Amino acid sequence: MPLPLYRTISEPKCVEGNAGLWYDKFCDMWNDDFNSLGDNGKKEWIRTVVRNVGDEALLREIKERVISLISNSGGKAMLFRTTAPFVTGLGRSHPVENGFAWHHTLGVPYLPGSSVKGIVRAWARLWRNLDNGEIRRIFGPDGAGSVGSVIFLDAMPVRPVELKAEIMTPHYGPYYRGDKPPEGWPADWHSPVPIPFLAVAEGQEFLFGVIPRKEATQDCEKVIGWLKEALQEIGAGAKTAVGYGRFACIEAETPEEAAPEPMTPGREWLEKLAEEMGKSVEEIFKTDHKMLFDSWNKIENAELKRAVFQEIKRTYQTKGWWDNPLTNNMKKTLSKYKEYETKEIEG
Amino acid sequence: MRGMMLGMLAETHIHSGAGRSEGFVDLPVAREAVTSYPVIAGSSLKGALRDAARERGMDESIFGDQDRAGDVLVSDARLLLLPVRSLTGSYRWVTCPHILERLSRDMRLCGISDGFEGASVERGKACCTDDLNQIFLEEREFQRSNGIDGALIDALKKMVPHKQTASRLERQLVIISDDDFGWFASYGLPVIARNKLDDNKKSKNLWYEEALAPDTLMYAMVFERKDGALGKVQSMFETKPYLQLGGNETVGMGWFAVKIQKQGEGR
Repeated sequence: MPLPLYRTISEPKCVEGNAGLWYDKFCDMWNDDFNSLGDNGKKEWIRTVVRNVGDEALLREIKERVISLISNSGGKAMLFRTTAPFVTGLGRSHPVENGFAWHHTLGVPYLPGSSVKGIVRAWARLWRNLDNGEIRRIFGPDGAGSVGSVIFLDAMPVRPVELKAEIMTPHYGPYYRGDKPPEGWPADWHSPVPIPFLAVAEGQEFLFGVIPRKEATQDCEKVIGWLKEALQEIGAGAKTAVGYGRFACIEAETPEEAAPEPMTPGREWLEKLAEEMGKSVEEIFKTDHKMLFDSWNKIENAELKRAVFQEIKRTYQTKGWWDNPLTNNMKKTLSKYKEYETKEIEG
Repeated sequence: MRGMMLGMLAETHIHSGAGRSEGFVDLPVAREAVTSYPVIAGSSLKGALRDAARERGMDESIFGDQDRAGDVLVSDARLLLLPVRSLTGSYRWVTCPHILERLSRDMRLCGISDGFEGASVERGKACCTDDLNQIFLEEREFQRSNGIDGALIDALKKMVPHKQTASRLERQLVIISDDDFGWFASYGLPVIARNKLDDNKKSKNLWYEEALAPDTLMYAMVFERKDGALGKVQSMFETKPYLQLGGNETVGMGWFAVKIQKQGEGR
């Protein structure tokens, strides 16, 4: 096994790399007896990642993929923007003594799905005073048993994230620790202790997503309402009691915007056809539907033909043209597809 | 007996667990006993496929019932590319000669021509396509060795369900020796802290879970005992090319995008 990096000659740097890996594993600010970093060491180490972190192209790709997954599963994606600093994962162990929740592969801060679910559940239970049965159905009962009806995805940044160094300065350490009086009185003979930590700046965008489990679409709608309220009112992550972690909803990402669908054989065939024609798939569906039908009809492999048919039908359906064709000509073309459907698939 | 291959790209974290452990990580992922590579047991995968068939309103009898064996054989989902954090680029897709050799055998078993040469690489070295002298993976440094066979990259691309994702393969692929890879497979996975709070926001239960990171690429094989069964499995993924499996479903884990490859479609 190669030696750990810090034993070799080359000096590690992290310019475009994974900021989470750098922050968690490469800290070199230790004092001589390796028992702490000292206040300046902590601040300086935090400063090494105070910039925009994350790879723009990669984040955009992940965003599109998450939206495809959500729209394909009948869920809902929503974009939120931080209106206050946001920090999560403070409890994780780290040389700075305050951890940070990094997304493993992307090296950006994120909010795990389990946190999102916990926030919404707390909001529904403690602030909305909802019926217990409803809460159990949507979030699952306490302890083991059955499962909730809604899936909460990780909340992911959609572009590089601006980080900043923050400081908290508790004045009454012994009091907060719960020491016995008189030592534990919140009195002014205690010294303030500045503690630096890393946070996400205001104005950063995160994509939240929920997916219905077994067609619980109505529950999904409810959950989205609660999510908006909870992120605005009680906030996410740590230090929410002092105003951290608030998000405002920017817009509901409509599923139709989801650009690249995953490559099913049908999709692949369509894109190849579009490439040969020098047109976009969109255009073909709208204006060249007759040609599309003819090329499809010529497919000899029955399996492929069926797969492409499914993809064509789905595309027409998402546009709403399957049941309401734009023109009479389109109606004629669609009726031929429907003939095929009744004969080959349902029959 | 005809077979097909399911390329499975993780869209979210995946937790296919092995139960409790006594180590630092309370809930580790399941691993192959001999190689220590993360794995998804065939029984889990078959269960997930059956569930997917049921959810899509399709015929689930091909998976058998109490009195009758199913019409399909489902293999374990095996690890192909492991995303490993790096100091040059967010992460690299890492694999090793042993995994590639196994892939090539499995492809031939499914009747798909592999068409790539096996790789070989010394310890401490890394094959990749870029011209860096060193590759940094986690806190370890590798010296650049030879490049990567283009046919191998093409074969891997066919396993990836998204075009844009596949286009990054060439740039991010790294092959290291079997022994070096074993270390990353054992210790290079994300560990996620989970916490249950009471009404005063005090921790009631803190535990650590290991997971496979998003963009992990795995593959599984499905064979048919009866003609037509493969077509049924394939049709499950025609309009919904996703499969959910493993634990923590309602906190967003376990989603794979699936791409199917069949005999004679190697192109």
